Amino acid sequence: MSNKIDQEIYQDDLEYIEQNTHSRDLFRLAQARRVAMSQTNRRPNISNWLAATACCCGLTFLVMAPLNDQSTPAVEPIVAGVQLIESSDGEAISEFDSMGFYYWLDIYDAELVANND
Amino acid sequence: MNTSGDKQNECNQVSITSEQKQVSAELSYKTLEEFLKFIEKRAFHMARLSTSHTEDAHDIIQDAMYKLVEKYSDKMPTDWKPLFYRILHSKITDYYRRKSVRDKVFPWKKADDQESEDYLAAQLNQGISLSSGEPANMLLRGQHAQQLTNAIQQLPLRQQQAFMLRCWEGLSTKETATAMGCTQGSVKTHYSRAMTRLRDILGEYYEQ
Repeated sequence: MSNKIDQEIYQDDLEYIEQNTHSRDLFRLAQARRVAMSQTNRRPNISNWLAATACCCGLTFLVMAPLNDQSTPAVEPIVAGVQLIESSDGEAISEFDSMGFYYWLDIYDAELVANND
Repeated sequence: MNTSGDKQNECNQVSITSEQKQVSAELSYKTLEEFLKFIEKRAFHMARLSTSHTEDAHDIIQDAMYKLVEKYSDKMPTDWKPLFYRILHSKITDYYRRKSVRDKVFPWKKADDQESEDYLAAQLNQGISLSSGEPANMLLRGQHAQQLTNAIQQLPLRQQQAFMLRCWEGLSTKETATAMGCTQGSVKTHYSRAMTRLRDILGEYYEQ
């Protein structure tokens, strides 16, 4: 019996809440109903926008990635050349350079001594 | 034993009331627009009580209405109500999921979520209550309604849903189970717990 009384009291109060809906809310509900019935002008869903943005980023990356790949071969020969010089028996090159220098120094010294004499 | 008897008694009483309401409701609308007009205020307040936020409640209602018309306009008018409430409660659950993520990402926005002003208090202060009668009675009724609102907001979400669908909307246990996406046994349990909790919270206040 107590349950039924409580339930009736709650229902009475809930109906009071329903009856006292603000006029601005009634207007917005009517607007929502009109939009739903016409199935137009729906509020944009943020998840759809996020998905669209992610797709655009993905497509941009796919388009830009091959372009980046094409630009790299122009740089590679220079790098490869530098690496080739550096990697090709560096000790022999330095030895050759120093031998030339000493050979020139010997000639220079010999000419200098000859001139002094 | 006594508790289960009370629970059964409570459920039977609600079933009778809901059947009566169902019959009258079936006569109230024939088209989908009439149905939405019939249900919109109650559904809005359910969403508002669940979210504690008027703007979010409006968004949820609009989405639910839109989806019902989009997906289920070809269904029988008797199916619209459980379907609409199923959509509505899915939207409310989604709202809570999004809110929990948003609270983790933007914790400083958490404080702005609650509405500062009581919904009914503003109406009463302006003296534009639609109820007729003595001002003192209107004020008392408004206070009771506000207390009930606060009490409902203290309930867990599933108990809120079960209580509002059964007590307010007058759906049967089966229809409520369809709307909530659970078994009839779960509905009975949620509803019984909700009534007990509300009685605990509001008992003293209502006796005054």
